[in-house]
Amino acid sequence: MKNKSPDNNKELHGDYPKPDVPVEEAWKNMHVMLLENDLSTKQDKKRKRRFLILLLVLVLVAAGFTTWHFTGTVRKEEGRTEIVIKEKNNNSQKTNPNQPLQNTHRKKRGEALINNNIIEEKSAPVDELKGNAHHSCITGNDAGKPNKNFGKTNAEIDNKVTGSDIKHYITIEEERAAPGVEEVEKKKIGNDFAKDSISINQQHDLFNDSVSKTYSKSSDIRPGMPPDQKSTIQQQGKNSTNSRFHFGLQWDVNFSLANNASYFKGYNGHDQYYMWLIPSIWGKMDINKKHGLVLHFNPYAQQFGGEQVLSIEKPMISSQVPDIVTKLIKTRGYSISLQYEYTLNSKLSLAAGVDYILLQKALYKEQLTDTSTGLVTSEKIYAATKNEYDFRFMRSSFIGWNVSAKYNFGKLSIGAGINQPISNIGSNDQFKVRPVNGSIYLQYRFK
Amino acid sequence: MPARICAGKIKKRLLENIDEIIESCKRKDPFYQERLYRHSYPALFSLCKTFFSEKHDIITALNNGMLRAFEHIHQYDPAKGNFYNWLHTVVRNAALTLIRDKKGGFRTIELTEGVHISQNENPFNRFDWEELYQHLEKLPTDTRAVVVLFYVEDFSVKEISCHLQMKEGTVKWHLSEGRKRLRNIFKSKPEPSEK
Repeated sequence: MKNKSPDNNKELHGDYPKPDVPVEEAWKNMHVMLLENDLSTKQDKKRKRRFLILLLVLVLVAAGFTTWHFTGTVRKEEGRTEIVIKEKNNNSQKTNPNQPLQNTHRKKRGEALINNNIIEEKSAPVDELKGNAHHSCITGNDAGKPNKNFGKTNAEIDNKVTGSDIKHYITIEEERAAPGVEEVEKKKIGNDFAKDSISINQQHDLFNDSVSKTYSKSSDIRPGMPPDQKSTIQQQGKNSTNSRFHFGLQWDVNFSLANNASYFKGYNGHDQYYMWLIPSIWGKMDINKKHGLVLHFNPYAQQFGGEQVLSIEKPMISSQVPDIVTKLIKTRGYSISLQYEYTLNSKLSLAAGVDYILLQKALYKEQLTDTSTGLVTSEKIYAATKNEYDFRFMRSSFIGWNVSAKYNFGKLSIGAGINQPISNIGSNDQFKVRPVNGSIYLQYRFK
Repeated sequence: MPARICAGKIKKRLLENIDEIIESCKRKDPFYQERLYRHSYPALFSLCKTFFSEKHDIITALNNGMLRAFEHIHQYDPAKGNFYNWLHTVVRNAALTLIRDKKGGFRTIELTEGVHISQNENPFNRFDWEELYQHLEKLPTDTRAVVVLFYVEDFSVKEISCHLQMKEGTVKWHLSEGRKRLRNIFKSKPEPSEK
């Protein structure tokens, strides 16, 4: 009778009975299995390559879209204030720096008057001018005072303003439509106005709808402000919303910082390249401009185990019987996360918080390891669902911590973070399984 | 056409060139894969036949084991052990996996406490292969697997329980059932004891 382990190469040449099945027949079957195995490996590699190409294309499209969105928005934000002008352009009234200002559309008190190139206001008592003082934007510091520029030439007025303001007005003039245009024109003259800009809206509305003006919500822009500071405030105005509550979707790519073997292996035996496409939902409440709370729900939260050992089942006596080593590849479950978010500036935010994960499935790698040599004699990968016997190596839920940082592109954000369970996720206290995972995510804000 | 294995010099040459065969198998050379398969076939067939009576199951277990061996041959380290020992273990574990996958065939009857399993001597040690097969043919598949692991492969009850993922009481029941069915060979020898 043979021992269970032949102890030298010659054992396999002992007196074995003739097999019932001829070796040729058995080899045919084996050959087919080897070919199929090679084919499936190649197909898996092809599928993986195709998926990576698709992912790369998606990333490029997303990057292109965010770049277009971001740069397009910045262009729009330069001079968010618009004036709708409805007038007849008189060809004879060309811009002449030395020509005295003309009051051509004087209608009633408090109305903005539009001359060829400049907004002027009629002379009025100081208190009446308070609401309109910023019309004489050239002399913004003189808000509330009678318009000193009334009757002065453009050149004289220009001498009092800063270079950037002059340039801004010059730009406006160049943008005006050709003479004779009677269509409504939208002109952008920027946010070079002080506070109380809303009142201008109201006054403009009185002017038979021929002039309307919308101002940026950022009311901190002052005349003479450097352009980069203006664009920052304009961007902040663009990013901020009136609402304290925001929500959107997030796509996470989680990975182990130790070992990502069998990364795409699915719980049903097939590869899961689609797992990155499953979004999670987030909602944020702003406490103030800098601080906020974020609630996150992920229906497909994955924690990668890095093949940490969950259990080793050893034979009672030292023998050739291998140990059964069970390692964790990954888990899947529902995750709820509460984070505190700190906004550094319009671009960068930091967050930290805790997660609660309710596990649903686990993917294991089981290895039979020779006790004397430590050699892995065989291994298999299998999945276990909650409430099944094989799920016994895992706890049903755990709590974890997370930190992250994100960069905002308006409605889109890209972030990166780290998370780790606080407690052991394995059921065997002899083996502490607390894998550290990294994550990269793409976040989209609906509101 | 790949060379066929025959007795004498070629076999000896194979033994001497086993390292070359292993290295070629690591490169997935089909010629050397076939050589290794044919060379190991008789021994591995006998091993799998102890677990299964159906030819289909024997070939399935053997080929599953060999496929696993070919896939993981790069993990074999000559410094750590004997190659055929490794191959034998891999194929045996494949057979056990096949038995485990057929879980529906296992009964869940457990022996109650107080029933003692003891063994002083293994009655199967005196049999040759053909006699062994003849006796094992009388047993149902699940009982046969437990008896083979206990008496032929020297597994303990706990080890069998781990490998086949059944409770220890169930293992004991199968051992008891095996002794009942093979009482004629066990009557002539003292009863087995638990390891």
